[in-house]
Amino acid sequence: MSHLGDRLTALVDGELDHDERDRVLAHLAGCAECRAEADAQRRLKQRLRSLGDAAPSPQLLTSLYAMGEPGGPIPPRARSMPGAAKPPVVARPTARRPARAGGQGGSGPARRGLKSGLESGVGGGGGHGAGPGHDLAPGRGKAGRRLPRMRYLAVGAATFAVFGIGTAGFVAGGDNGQLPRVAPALDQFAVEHALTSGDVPITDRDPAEEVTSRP
Amino acid sequence: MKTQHLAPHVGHRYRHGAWLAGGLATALVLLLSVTSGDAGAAPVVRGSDAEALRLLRDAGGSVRATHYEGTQFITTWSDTGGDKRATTSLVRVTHTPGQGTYIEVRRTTADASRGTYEPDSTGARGGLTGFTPKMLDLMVRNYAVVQAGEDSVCGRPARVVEARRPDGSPAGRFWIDRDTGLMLHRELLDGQGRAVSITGFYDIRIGRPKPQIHEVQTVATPWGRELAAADLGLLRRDGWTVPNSLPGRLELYDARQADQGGIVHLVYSDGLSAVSLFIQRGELDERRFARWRKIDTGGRTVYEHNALRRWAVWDSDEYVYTVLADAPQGTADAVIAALPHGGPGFWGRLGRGLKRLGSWLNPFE
Repeated sequence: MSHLGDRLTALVDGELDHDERDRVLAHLAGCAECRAEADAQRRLKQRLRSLGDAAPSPQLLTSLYAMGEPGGPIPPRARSMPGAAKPPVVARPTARRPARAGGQGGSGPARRGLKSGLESGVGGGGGHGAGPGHDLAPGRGKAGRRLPRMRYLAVGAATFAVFGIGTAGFVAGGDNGQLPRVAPALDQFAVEHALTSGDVPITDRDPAEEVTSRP
Repeated sequence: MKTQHLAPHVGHRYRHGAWLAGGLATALVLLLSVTSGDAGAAPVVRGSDAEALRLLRDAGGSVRATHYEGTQFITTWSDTGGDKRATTSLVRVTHTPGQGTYIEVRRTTADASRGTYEPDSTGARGGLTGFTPKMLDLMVRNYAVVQAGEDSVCGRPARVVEARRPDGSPAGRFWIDRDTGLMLHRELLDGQGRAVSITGFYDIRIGRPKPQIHEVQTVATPWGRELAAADLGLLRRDGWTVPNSLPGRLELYDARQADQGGIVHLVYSDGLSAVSLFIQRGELDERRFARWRKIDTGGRTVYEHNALRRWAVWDSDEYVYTVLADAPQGTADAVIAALPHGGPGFWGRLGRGLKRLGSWLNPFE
């Protein structure tokens, strides 16, 4: 049993002021039992710190990531009615201030918050105050939704362009423009045909010029 | 180790596959070249007689080298919708070697009218032979040209040459003067052996023509601008319909363009029949064809008229087509059906519109 009581723990935690620390250290110099107790507490503290650096197993990470996947339909957000109490402020987990293990985290914490918390050596839920999955944290989840939205936008723009150009082309191709009205020069064609086929170069324009007989 | 054994085997198999693919591609190209429908690749009809071919070839030279004058008759039979009729024209021809031929159309043998002068310098033959050297090449390809005995025309002894189909039936007959080599008479026959058209001398006199004054209305010279294969390719790219061949083993053998108006003249033949296709941009002025027979083809009207030649005129998608055929009725009908009728269709209209949009946006066009 230590002679210093809680002060020994405070010494190890570095919570003593200057004068108190001098007195405790003076006692330790002459008391082997308290020195041993102080050494034991320092080793315990170091071990606890080393435990915080341990990486979680991949199975655990996978399970936790799965908890962050989109679930079923999101229930409508409760609208605050006049006179009703304001909904609780949603706390968002951050990497700098992880929540305590076993905290009041909801069922749908953000993947990024979880991973950051785990990488900092502390497991835990999505922080206190998060509702039952209806308030997803910003970050990766939002970016994940932005990407398909961009895709839809690009596909929509391309479709619009194709249909627009196609419609314009179809409309522009329908008008024959200022086509001249032509009457083929049959007499000229008849002579040209005869000259290129070795035939008699005579016109064949008016049937009245030929003698017609019925067998 | 296993990989080391497998690698050369796989490589060998890969090379084997490449050879196989290459062989298949070559075979496909050869097959396509054979079955492309090009009349030039059609099997050649064998059995032509060298002496018969010589007689036909010499007939062209004899026409230009001989003094002669006479009256020719041209008769064409047609059967349009059960209306069978024969149309005949009488033509007075007078030829002087080194100069040319005067051709006068006559209603009767006593009637004279203004006519046409065809200079020898054009290489023409006064319409006597009914074929050109290019057509003769096609005739040898599509028919067996043989001698078929002797006969007489206008009291002059003649040698008879026949062009026979692969089944042996005659498709054309020629009577060639035994003394001068002139073509005195020729017939085009259909598959049943009936005459489709006949051109021959009603009377003929060999020797220097009597001096007389000819009133010339037309100097017949073919359109000067001949179109080469590259020109035809450009026309096709611009949307013109320029088939290399037409039904009836008709092959494109001459293409020209008028100096004015941009009218394109395409000439097709199998050696005996000749079909001219005239194409020009525009809409048909239908008022000019009120007396022609109207044929409805899918909502569009084709105007037809059978006289000495078979005529058909219509417009389709910015172009006016005129077909002029010295051919059996069935061949002429198949040619007309094979050419464009109606509008451009969805894709044609879309392509034309996009082309127009591109030209509007192109500052250099």
